[in-house]
Amino acid sequence: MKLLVYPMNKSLAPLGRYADMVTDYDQVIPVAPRSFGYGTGDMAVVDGGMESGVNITYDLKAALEACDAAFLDYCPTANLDGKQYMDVIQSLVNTGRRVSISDDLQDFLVRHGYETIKKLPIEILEYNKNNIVLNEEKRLLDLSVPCIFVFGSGDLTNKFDIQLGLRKAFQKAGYTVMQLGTKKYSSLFGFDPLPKFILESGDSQQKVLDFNHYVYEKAKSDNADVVIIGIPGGIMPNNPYQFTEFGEPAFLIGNALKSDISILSLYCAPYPQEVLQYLLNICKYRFGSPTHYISLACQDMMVSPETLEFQTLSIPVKRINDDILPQVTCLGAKVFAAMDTEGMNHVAKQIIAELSENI
Amino acid sequence: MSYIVFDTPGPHAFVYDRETNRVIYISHADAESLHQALETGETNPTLQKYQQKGICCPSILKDIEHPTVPMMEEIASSQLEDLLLQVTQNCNLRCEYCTYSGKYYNRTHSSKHMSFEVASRSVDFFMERAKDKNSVVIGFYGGEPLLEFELIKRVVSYVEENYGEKKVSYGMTTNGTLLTEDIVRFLIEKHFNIIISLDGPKDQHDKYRRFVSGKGSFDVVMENMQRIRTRHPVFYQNLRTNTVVTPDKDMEALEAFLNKDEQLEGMTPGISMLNDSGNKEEFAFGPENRVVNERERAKLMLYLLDQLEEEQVAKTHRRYLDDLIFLCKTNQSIGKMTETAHHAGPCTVGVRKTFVDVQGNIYPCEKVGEVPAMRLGNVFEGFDLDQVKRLTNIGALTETECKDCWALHHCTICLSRCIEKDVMSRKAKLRHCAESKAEALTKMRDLCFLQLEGLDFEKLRSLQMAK
Ligand code: SF4
Repeated sequence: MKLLVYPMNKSLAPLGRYADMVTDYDQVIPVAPRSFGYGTGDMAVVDGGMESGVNITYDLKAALEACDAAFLDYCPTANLDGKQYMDVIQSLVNTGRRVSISDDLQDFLVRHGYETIKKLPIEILEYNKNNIVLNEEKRLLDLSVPCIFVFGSGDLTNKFDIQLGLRKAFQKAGYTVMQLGTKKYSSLFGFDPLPKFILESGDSQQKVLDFNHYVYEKAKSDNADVVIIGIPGGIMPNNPYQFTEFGEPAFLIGNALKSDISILSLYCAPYPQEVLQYLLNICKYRFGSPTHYISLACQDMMVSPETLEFQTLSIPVKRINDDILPQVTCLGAKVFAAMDTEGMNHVAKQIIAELSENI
Repeated sequence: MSYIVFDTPGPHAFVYDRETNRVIYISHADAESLHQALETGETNPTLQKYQQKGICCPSILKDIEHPTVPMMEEIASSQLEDLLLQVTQNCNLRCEYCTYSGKYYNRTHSSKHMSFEVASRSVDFFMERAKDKNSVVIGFYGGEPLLEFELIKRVVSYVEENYGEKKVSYGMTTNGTLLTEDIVRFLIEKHFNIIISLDGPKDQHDKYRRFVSGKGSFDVVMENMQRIRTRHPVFYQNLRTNTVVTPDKDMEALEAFLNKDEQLEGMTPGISMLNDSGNKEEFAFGPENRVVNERERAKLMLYLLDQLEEEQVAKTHRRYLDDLIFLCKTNQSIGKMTETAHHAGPCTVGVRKTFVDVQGNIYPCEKVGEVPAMRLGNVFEGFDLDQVKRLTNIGALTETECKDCWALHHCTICLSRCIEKDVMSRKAKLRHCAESKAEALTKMRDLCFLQLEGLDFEKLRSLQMAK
């Protein structure tokens, strides 16, 4: 079974890279328009990681013929209009392929006059709003299994890659994982995305309680040995010239659950020791999550000197391993490159060992 | 030294400290002591008092290096944002001051034009290296680019066919003489941003901007603009004009024309000073220029203090408002100075703008000469990364001076100001230092004055910059 993913870009990259972990499919066809500049090379061009053995194509027509199913997402940075998305969806539906799209794409299409999308037999992938089981208790409940948080300093910090890396290692070691992912398409990997309410406006206190109960019940019903939670968004504002977010979901989740292990994934830079200590202190004191693992993502963050806007720079993992990682040390924390498969495996094993000793 | 003491009208003194990027209001007595410390190079109790608070401390800056240098390979392979294609070196005008008029080293008009092969390869080269950019700009430059209108159309189709999913906007600077109805319709359809070179009222414009025959081009340009105004009013409102200010320019007449001429109403005029980079003749601007600038600057300040209406401020001087907004946004403390830093001003050459000449050679921008010393590679073989790093890292030319310069974070010197006879020159760069520091000080003074007069900085920060 082949799953077409369109339009491939950094935020969908895990679907191409970890094609072996995508459930129900044995092959992923990542399609990126030629305009995206990725060419037809390995997924490494998109996410900066190591060679994955999965190649990108820009031949959408051939991919549409070859696939059995497809997942489409809205890509706000691309010059793709409603009709272009609709043509692809319609041709898939007409040929009886299974189609799923993100709720962002559905919203975009509806906004652009394609109400008909709602009538098509397609599945919508979004943050989880179904089957939220909440406990009646008016207090925070203790998880009986270890809990791992994956924080990031912002978007595109490879948080989801780390979540998948941990999942793979724990499953391989024979553990049952209950996981809530930061990507709406988490279900393609066989686990739920975060519940929607944590990102919606509403009473913070209630959200903390609800999240705690939700995870507690789900861990119990899944018979989980370990819980892995991806924390959406960043942990603090990144751009002094534009206020975007300040880590509210991290604050809520940090108050809802006690983490046993946390990983903080940062935009890649040769951080001085005191900056890292400051960031770890934020995790410890603001989110109640002592953090001993720091990863460097394949993205650097820069503020444009002309427009003062936030922009990212892709940095290949090899460059991080060779030049940046050797410059970064942090007392009391292990620093690794998020997209270095070996480094990630090593960290996952270390975490498993740490947790089994405690158990 | 890494700090400077200055005052504003009225009994107010300030110290600006480069290490913390902070401006602090101080007493006159302290200002005098700090002045003394600066002049003698010796410490005194006032200086010690400030140093205890972390202000005016000795610098920790050790090395001058542009921040993009260490990551240049990654930056040059993903961050390109503005491609400028020199579609021809030919022009139907012979403007006296033009960089191709023969007055500049190594640049003359010629009949050379870009082939489609070079143009399409340039687009491919650019798009392959614009991966991290959500939207990009493709501009057409000359000579007079509209002499190659067919090529421009082919390039736009090529971009649409091959890179349709990228957000691309197009731009062009034209002398305005070839704007036929067909061309205008195409420019409107493709949402071009157009800048028309217009050097002021007829006598001023025609003095320099003449056809090969010697006839002035003013009437033709204005006729074309009037036609666009009547038939395409929306497009017309988005046109911009640019005036090159030559030393002999009658600034009063120019201002009156650009700001008040009925036909130009609603358009955005811009002015740029005659390019001295690579000019064979030395020239200097006279006091009239300074008087008009000072007056318009003062009017802008009064406007910010609600003492003048917006319409009373010359549109040509709005740029200074942008400068103030930018300074106001960036003058928040940057925290500690780092051991390695570079002065503000230069862009990452070849990345911020990728200027490709008719043969496919890449240069930093249209302001520097198309000579081997400025070449950054070509679109067939790629960037010469060492050259990109060298021409970006212009701080290296004046390392000693910059390490000691209070204006490091506010410098405006870029590569185009570091060139003499088409090569990078420390001497040429140092000639611009005094001007750059004076500009920085003027802006800082103005901001302090405005704040003391009650201007709400948050209001200023919230204004949109035009550029
Ligand atoms: S004004 Fe001159 S010395 Fe000062 S930072 Fe700029 S280039 Fe360096």
